[in-house]
Amino acid sequence: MGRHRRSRVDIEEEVRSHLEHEADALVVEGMTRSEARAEARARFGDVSRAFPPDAWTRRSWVGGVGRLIAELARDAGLALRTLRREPGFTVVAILTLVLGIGLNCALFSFLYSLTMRGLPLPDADRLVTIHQTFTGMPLGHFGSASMKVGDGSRYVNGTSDMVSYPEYLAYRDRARSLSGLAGFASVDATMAGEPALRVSAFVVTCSYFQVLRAPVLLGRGLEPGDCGAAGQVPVVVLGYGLWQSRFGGDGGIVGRTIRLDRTRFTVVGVAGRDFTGTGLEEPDLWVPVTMEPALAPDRLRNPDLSWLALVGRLRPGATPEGTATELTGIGRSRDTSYPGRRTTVLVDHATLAGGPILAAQVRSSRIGAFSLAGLILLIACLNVASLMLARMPARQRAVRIRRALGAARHQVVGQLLVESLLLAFVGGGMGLALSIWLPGVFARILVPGGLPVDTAPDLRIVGYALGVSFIAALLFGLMPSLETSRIDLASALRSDTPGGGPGPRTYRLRKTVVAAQLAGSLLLLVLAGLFARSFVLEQRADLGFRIDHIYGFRPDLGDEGYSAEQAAAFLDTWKTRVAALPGVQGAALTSALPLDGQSAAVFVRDPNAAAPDFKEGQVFFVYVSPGYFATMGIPILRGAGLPATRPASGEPQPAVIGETMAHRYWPNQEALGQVFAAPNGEPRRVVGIARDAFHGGWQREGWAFFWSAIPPRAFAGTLVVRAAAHADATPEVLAAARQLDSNVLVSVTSLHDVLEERLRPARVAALLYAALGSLALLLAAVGVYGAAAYGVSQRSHEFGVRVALGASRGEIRSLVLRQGLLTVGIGVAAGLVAAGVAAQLVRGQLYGIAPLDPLVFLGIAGALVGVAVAAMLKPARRACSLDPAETLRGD
Amino acid sequence: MSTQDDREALPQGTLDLLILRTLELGREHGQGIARAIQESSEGVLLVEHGSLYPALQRLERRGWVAAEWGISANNRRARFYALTVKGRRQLEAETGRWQRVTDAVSRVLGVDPAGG
Repeated sequence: MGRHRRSRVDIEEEVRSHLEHEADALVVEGMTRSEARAEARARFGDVSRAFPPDAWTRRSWVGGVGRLIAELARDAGLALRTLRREPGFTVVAILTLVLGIGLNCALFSFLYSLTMRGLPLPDADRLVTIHQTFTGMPLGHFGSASMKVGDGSRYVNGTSDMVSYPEYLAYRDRARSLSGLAGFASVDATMAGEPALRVSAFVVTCSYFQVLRAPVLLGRGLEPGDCGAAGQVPVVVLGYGLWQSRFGGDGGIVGRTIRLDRTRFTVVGVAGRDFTGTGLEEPDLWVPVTMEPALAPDRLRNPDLSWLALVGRLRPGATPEGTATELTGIGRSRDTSYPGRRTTVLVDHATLAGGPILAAQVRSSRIGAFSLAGLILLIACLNVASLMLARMPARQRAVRIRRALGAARHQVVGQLLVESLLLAFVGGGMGLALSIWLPGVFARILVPGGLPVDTAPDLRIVGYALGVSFIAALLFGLMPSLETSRIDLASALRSDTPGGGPGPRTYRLRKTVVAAQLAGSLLLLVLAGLFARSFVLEQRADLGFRIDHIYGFRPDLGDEGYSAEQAAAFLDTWKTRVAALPGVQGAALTSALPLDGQSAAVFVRDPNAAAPDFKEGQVFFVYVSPGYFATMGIPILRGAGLPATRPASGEPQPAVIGETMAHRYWPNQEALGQVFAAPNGEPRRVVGIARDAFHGGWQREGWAFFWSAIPPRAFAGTLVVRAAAHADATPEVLAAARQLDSNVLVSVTSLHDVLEERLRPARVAALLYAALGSLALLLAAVGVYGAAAYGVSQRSHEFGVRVALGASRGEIRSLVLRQGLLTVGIGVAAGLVAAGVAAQLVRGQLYGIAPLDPLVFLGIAGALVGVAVAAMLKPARRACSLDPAETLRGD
Repeated sequence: MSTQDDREALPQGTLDLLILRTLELGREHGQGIARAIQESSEGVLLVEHGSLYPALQRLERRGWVAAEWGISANNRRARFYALTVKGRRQLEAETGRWQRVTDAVSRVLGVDPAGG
């Protein structure tokens, strides 16, 4: 039997050969080639009777797997040949899929490398991060600002889930399930030299290198002996990057000394090239935790300051859950001295972005990011499905032969799906390549300078890519495959008449896909439009202060060991000298530049009121010197600016408040002369009311703000300078600082750059949506064109009759357009609804326009309809130019 | 539209022998055999070319004919069928029966084959 089992391809070829020979003969007998073909087919009759399916298609399931593989291989070969024959379709389909799948894979790879992937260290699966949370006591969290919370029993630095040094010691000494526990914190330090350099120094417990098994290139890592009495062992391990950039990879560096802030440290080692710490921030160097007082305010002895992050190594057999239970027990034993407090310790496998707060941020952004990526994948799949439907008539001729040869419908669907899978996997493979490169781009969008994300594909990333490709193949391939295989067997192979071609059902399906494509591209383009307009408005927005030619200079006086009084004196002298420079129009001191998010927030109240009233919300403030308003161009509306002289001791500090604050606190009375205070804070007297200036940028709703005079024993550490247009005063300003103290390092920013940095997400979003939306629109236009052209070819007979009965060309054209416009209208309407919902979701990121901005919505919808109509014009023209005689005969 | 009547096939065995007889003259491909049979029976015996193939398959399976791909006179690829030794023996043995069947067919169709 087996010897006579013939392959389907072999039989197909024999039938084709037969038909060609017969046609040859008929041509010789006087027929035209096309007539001969049709006649040959008619003479052949029913192919399914010529080759009954059971003669060769029945399969036993014994050895079925081998046959299945052979079948798949044959299907794949056939698909490959088909795709090669249609390079245009193949290239567009694959590019679309690369984008759709690649974006999804890149996003997955990015988030995976942040939150799931182990650190690139030996036995990383035994490394855990440890976080501590409290219940039963008031705790707050305010960005990076240190603040005293509630009753003042706990200080929070950065994230509330870190630990104090005494807590670290308790966990380290008592935890049995950990073979080692390390704590670390980053501080900014100034490294002396020419030029002085700002470095990210990690103060780490001396178990750090052992616990992590961090590679060391030269010398040694830190060892337990380095953590002696506070400030006693000034040693440092350099990071590979700093060693290269600052010391040119000098092999003799070990044993030399470097100065950090005011202390000399001996270099004991250089870390391995690949060791970039355990978090998102890359350390430049490591020093023992006991040296912390030399670089930062002494935090070692404070048992209530959260500042150390923890990473531990599990003993063999220990689990994160078991360790969490053990550490929680240790934490609870400390709770006895804190009434009401209840400690819970969380233990997770160590990843780049660990900890409950970061994890929550990633979780919340993940939903939005994956919805967008999913939407783009969906649109990509719709586009490919539309392309597949467009070439369906051509494909159906081949399918009809196969079906007539007895191939069951599921076999034809299978073969078409193999083709889809082939497309999806090629697209997915290239998308995977994209996912190696794109996460770095995401990281640079999110953080200037990027993040140390490891995007090398591993099993999970490849698995994800395969999964997404498979889903995509089903999404775009299943429906067209089912539709293509749905043919009328009775008329199979008879001829090429439309009766055997795609029916009205297919046409409807195709219009549905086109409408969905239009809706998707409209959604993306509306988002692009909203972000673009918001970006332009924000760029032009009047923030209430000058942006152009404003520079901020921030010296690292704290690092250089200046006391508050010394710092104030330094800044004052410097300010006076800078103000006298020729290219400088104004100079003043402030505690924070606008837009950099560093303004402090307080709750204020009338000091005469009995109890603090928090319901009014926060007020933001900065310390400024009197010249600030003139330098920044902030007009004083009533009263005066800050006085040049300090108030008598015991008098409230003078403050200028913004209009919003004046209206909020003294709605029906004169605010000038009023006194207010933060709880436990110094009282301040309102000496002037200024026009609102939006130091926080666009987050301006309810933005109450005041400018306080610099109180005694404090200083405002940033010098703002307004330079004359076309003058670069920066070198002179820096020179003036060097004259005062050559060790002081000054960082410079222009307000313009700060603003650009703030606007970057909006600009990137607008560009991204515009690029994706335009691509989707282009493909949708192709879809509209294809559907209209097909519609015209289907109805050519009808149009012929109409023309014969006296219909004018205009009437025919409007007939075609009307039909197409219905599809377009449905797509646009659906897109508008979807865009309306999406706009509500991103409203928090928009500035200056309502989420349902009519200009954007109507403008984009109009443009889309215009493009769609343009795409229909050619088919409409063809319908008008149909020769009635020709079309009627052709039937 | 095709109906069941159009597609009526020859009695099994009859077509087999027609094919074998055609191949006695030399190897031929499917369309060639179909044309030969159609012409020799004036288009009556083989209504649809396709109905030739089940018979060809059957003969091939029995080992009476062998098939191989080759190039036709039209310079096209074609699957050529040729009589095997076994097939030739079968043809000789069945010729007598063939004559009887032909008579029967003639009666059914109401024509006299000798007179045709």
